Amino acid sequence: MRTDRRVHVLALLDEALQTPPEARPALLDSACRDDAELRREVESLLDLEDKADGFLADPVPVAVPGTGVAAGTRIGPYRLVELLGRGGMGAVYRAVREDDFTKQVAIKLVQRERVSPFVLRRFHEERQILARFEHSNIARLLDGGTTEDGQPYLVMEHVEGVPIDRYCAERQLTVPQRLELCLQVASALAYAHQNLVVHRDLKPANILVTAEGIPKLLDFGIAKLVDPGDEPASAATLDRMMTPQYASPEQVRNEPVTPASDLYSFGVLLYQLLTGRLPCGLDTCTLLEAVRLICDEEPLRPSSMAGDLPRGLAGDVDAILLKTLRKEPNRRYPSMEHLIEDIRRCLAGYPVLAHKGTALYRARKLIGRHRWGAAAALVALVLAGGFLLREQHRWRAEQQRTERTITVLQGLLGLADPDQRDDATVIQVLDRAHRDLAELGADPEIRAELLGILGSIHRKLGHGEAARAALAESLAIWRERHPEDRLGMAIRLNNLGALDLDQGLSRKAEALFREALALREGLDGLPPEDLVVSLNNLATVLLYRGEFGEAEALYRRGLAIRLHQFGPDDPRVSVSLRSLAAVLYYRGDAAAAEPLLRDALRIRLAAYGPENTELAPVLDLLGNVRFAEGDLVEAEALYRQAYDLRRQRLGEEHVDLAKSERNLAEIRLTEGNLPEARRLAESALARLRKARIPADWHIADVESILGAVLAAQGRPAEAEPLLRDGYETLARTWGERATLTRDAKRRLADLDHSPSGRTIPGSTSIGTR
Amino acid sequence: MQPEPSREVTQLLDAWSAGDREALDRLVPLVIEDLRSLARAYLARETPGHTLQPTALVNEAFLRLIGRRQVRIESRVQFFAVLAQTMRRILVDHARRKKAARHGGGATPVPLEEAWDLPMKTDVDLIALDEALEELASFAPRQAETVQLAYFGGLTFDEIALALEVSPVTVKRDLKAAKMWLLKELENRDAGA
Repeated sequence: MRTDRRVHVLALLDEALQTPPEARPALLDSACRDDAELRREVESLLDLEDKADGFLADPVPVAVPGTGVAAGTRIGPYRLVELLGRGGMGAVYRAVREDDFTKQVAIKLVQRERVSPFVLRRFHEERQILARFEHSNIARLLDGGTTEDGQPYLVMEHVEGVPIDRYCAERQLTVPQRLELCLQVASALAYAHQNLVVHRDLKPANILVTAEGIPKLLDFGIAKLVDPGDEPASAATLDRMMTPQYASPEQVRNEPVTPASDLYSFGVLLYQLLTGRLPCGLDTCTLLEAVRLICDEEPLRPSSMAGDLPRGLAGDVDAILLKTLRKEPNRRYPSMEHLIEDIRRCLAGYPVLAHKGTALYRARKLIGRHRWGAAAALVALVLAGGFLLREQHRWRAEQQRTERTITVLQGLLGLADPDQRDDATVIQVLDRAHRDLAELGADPEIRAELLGILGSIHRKLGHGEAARAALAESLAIWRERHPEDRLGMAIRLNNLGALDLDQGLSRKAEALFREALALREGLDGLPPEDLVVSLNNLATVLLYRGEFGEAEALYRRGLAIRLHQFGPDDPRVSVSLRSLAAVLYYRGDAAAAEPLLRDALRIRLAAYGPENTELAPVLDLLGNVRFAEGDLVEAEALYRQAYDLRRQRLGEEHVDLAKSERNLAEIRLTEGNLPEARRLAESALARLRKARIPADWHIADVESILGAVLAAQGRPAEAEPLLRDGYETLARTWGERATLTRDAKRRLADLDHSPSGRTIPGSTSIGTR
Repeated sequence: MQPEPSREVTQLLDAWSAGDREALDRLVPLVIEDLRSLARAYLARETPGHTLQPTALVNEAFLRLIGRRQVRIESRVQFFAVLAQTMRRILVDHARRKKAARHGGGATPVPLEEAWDLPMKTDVDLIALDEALEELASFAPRQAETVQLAYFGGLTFDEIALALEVSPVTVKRDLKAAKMWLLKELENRDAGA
């Protein structure tokens, strides 16, 4: 009987919860017409609605000490006002002086049941440490004592502020501003270290920033004096894992903690403030996994995590943080002062010292990491990680795996970075990887994963055949074992397709991209951006092949998705705009392309500033458009702007300069300035031949232009092989319909049709695109 | 890195992920043992003042047992439901023992240093909550289960929805109603005590 009644009450409560509050009385009126008690019961439950939200709001904590002290309690001349937080040994309260309520302080109080000789000693130590400190970025110790019932307490400067991570986010600080703020924290740590104190528990919650923008370091509760030989093992054990995400490898391994550990934790903090993420995937792992990640997982380059790191800073920030976050304490900066110095250099635009030895360091780490037994274990763990509960969807697991794969990949690609290139090391690492991979054999999934990594690296390094072997096998394994895994299949198809595209096999690339796109189409839960990648890949092939109609449709779809996803000012939108403009331009509709390019330029200027090479591809195409419209003056100005950007940012040797030289050569050719046209074309050709495979179509395109210049100079014998080769390669790569092929064909025809070998300079290009 | 689960566990897991629900029943005692030893290890190691969410424990147990075996999402959720139940048992037992020690006539007070290692209640009396939950389960089992999964298992609304085969909206409402009922029940107890 009673059970029935309770069921009834709950059912009515359930109904009431589905009813807006204002309609509830009416509901109860009709449901409890002659049952006043029922109504009272339900109403008394409804009264608890707000309270219930806070009740059991978070999962049960397993070990949380009680606080034991109520607000209003008197401690010496102070009165506690509210609990601010709990630390390792006790609670921290906001308090006021009894005789002057305007004087706010923070009081740290050891809980009564925790008073023990050990804790008392700790507390005493903290007091001693703080008493010596006088630094504007460290909360000051004001007083201390013992309550009547024997509880020790510390009275500290009350810092009215918000944790540094929240502060940065709320104020939307720029990267340089964040660095400046952290410099103050760093100086506080340097000061502590000079005073032979290690903080040991650096984390955002321990750094409050005041309204004036002054960060203050709090809680030296588990700090210790740097006093070799006087460290009781138990203390180290207790401190372990206080805040694992920010702990250094030596801390989680319970090894001696030194100022280098603070430096590392500071690095974690800085990494988080600059990228919004913790390094090594620490923000999405379990506690135990954290230990492994901290000890073994190399952090991703910050610039790869944060899209908005200013280009000028990204390389330096990467170098600084990676040096700060090295696993081995003796490979980090030797002191906070050194780190501070490097951050200052970075902010001032001087070369940072962290770059030194980076390549060697990475190479060493890589070879260490690619003893594949260990690597296989790592990947196995990564796969396991994919099945954690929070990875609810198949594609998310795949995404995570891809992310980790990229981690390794980027580490390797760092070696292939033109500035830090050390071919011997790269080849050595790759060879070794290949050999060990063959021995690994056991698990096809892991093998496929690693082959995918290897293939991508080979591709980036221009080892076409090795890349093909690895990528094709990775795809074959997946096709055999996981044909149902549409996402994994699509990624592998795209990788192989990209390689085909590099090698000019556009038909094969097209087929692969089509298959990948079909797999991604209509896949529930797929991030829209993944679909756009597939759309654009296919569209790019079609664009070059001259299949403008379908290319345009695909690019337009991608553009619409991105506009919807990211809004009109996102750089990704500018990529789509530029691509679409390219279709229109190649199709011969330069006028329609121009506004799209102007918009793309606007977006990139806003996103990257005026001195970024990201502007160059848009400037190039805009120049092409103006050229086609007959405005040589503006075309040249645009080409030159792109050229100067590339020279300044990439250096005189960079292969990307070839693009600008090619464009400028075409201008000179049209103007009839043949020696200059020739010089530019030859320079472009030399760059490309150094960087690309012999049959590359970029080379062919420039060969064709150089051929036209030579022909114009009356050197048909030299011109002909270039014109012919260029045309044939382009035809083979993109087919006869492609714009580039048609241009090359026309240049060749001009030669054939002019017995003297002289063509009208530049007549090949204007108006034909 | 992870100790290999025993052959028995492996076989049961295979059977279970292949859809054999009975295998889960036989798996439970093994899982519980594993979780208990994990919990003990955690409790012994944890620094006082450090808050450990049960999700971390449960994830860890899950990883150790399931590893990188591919398991359907539904199976995983069932598994977590078992772990939530276990977690509740462990914590409530712990609270009972602690209470017994506290009220053990004062003869053998728990040494202070040792007391730190014990899970302490926050503002919730785990024993009373456990009893109230038991009562709620007697007439509203789904709502009680929802609380168990959310509070002791750390599962999200979506996960609970999968486990109980209801919509997340229902989970949200069930949880609210259950918490309101529990709150009132606990207040009544306090008033009665």
